[in-house]
Amino acid sequence: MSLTGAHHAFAGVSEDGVNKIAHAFFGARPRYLHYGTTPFVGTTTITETQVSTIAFPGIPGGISYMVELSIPQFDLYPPNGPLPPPLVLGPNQLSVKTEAHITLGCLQTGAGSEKRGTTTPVSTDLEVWAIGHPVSQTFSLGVGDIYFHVDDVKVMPVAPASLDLVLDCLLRMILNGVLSSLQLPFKIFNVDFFKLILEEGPLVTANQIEIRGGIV
Amino acid sequence: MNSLDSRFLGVGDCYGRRFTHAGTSPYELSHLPLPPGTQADRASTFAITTLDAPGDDSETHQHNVTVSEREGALHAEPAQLEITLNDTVLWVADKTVQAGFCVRGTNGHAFDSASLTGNSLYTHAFGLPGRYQWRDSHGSRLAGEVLVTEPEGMEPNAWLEALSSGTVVHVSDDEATPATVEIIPGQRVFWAIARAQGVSITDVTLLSKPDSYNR
Amino acid sequence: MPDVVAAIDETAANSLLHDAESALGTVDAPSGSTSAGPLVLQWSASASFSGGTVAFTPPDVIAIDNCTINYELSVDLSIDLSFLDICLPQVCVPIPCVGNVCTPKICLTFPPISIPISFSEAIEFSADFDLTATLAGGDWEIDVVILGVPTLDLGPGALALLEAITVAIAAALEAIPLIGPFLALITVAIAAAFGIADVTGLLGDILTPFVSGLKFKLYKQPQHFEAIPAGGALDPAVFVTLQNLTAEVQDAGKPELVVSVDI
Repeated sequence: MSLTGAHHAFAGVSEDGVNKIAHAFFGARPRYLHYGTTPFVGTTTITETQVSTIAFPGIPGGISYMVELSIPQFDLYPPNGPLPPPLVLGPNQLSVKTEAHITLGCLQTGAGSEKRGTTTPVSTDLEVWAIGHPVSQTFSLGVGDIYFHVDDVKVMPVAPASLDLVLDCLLRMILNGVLSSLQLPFKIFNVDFFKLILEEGPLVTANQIEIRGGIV
Repeated sequence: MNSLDSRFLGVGDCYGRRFTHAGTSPYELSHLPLPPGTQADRASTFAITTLDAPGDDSETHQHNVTVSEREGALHAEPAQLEITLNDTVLWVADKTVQAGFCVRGTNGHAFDSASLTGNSLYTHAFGLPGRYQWRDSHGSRLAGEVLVTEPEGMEPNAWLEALSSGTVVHVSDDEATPATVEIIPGQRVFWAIARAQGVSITDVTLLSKPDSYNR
Repeated sequence: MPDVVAAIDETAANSLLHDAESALGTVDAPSGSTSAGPLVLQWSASASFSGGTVAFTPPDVIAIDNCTINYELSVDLSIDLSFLDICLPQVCVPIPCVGNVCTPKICLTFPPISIPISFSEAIEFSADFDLTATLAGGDWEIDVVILGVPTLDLGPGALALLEAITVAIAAALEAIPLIGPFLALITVAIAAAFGIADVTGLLGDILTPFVSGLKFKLYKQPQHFEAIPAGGALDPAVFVTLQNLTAEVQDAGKPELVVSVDI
């Protein structure tokens, strides 16, 4: 079975290749794994991204927090192992695993005139599994990129179930936000051997993300 | 090179003069013709000495003088020539003469290759085909035409043999006979001047303005 | 499994080949000279390549058919006429009242004539090329390098060049005064010294350096590869290191040029 099939060009990145690229990306731009409000993150730098506190009446300065993720680990279809239910990895899908370290700035205040208090960070670690699929966007002839969209998330382990749902949703939104920064130009897929006009894909099969098309 | 102009004798051109008076005729060689009456800057170093013909000897002879050029100066070989009355002297340049030359006698029996008079001749070998209209640059009505035509289908050897033939145009005052001649490239035309007040045989394309010698 | 695999079929390879030909641009060959009889030819030449159709032959041969070499020649042709004994013969004519007047034999010499000739033509050729992938000076390069020296059909070009030379010589000679009677001799001498075989040989000498060792560069990228460009002061460029890059021709139902590389 030829690589190009009914097309003139093929480009593919293996599972190892995707993980190496992810390591390179988040290694060069760690701020996409580290988000925090003041006092945790003073300003956005290469290593961390400052976000706004959650405003709440009666809480001076809002609720402060920090979210830190480990470099996501990708598993391309077919799966290397079982996923936590109800996640199932199907054709053209990939799974993502990461560790989320969530810190809340816990404000201890007194009553009445002693409302100004101290902020004590309290943290938890969550194991996050997700399934998703690659998406392409084309900007001009032969120029575009592939990014990843998370379809479902499972945070391990959380109880009661309602909190589980809340955290699943929260981490799904956070993970989609994080992975939206990981945009892989077409040229990575063929190490710039040619400019690909995308006609088919991205497909996930045989532990590889594949795209096919013509060339400029 | 090879322009039709008797005022500037080039390689392949000849100027001839029949000497009809005994005596010594000094002359000079120059690259440019000198206006009539102009004195030479230096004494002539060349001369033709004409001796009386002995007794009943009526045979005439031709003598050739080769003009050469060394370090910008023109030389005649032989520089001093002794001839007999009514002999003809023919000046011809060798390949060292780059820019042409003129011959001019400097005593009373004057002769000037740039201004042909009786007992003179000028000959020119035509190199390229074409129609050559000529006239006197000194302003007289003397004029003519030479048609040089490529010989179609002539064998090279026959062509070379034909170069040994010359054509004569007789000039008397303002008349050239014949006025039009036809030759092939490489052949010569001889203009034999029987009588004239000082004329030149000049291609009309070389005459952009009236000659300063015009009478 | 390599980290990255890219493949193109023969149709896409044609496009890359034509891009490589354009990138190669115009190539200059060393100038040279040769002499033949009274002729001395000095030349300079340049050429460019275009067209051609790619066919893959596993594992590492790419055949290119009907590639065109477009060449331009500048020839300075000198003709030394000293071999000719060009003399105007003695001419005698009777002049009235003077007698027979004879001009002497006058021998002429002509300086060498120099004739510039410009000539251009296109020749098609076919050849096999070796597919190579190398790491040189920090760059990965994929080249196709010609195998052997292809046979060039020089016949039509040689004929045209000989015609151009002949026409140029004739025009230059005809402009020389007094050459007319001797043109036939000169033409015979030149034709004897420099004919179609000499022109064919000359063209071969000129064009062979262009095709011998001919190389088209299909790919060149730094080993330290910029995967994602910088997106501002807070988003530096993302680099990966390309390792173990290979290029080969495979046929799994369709001939393809396959490039594999590890990150």
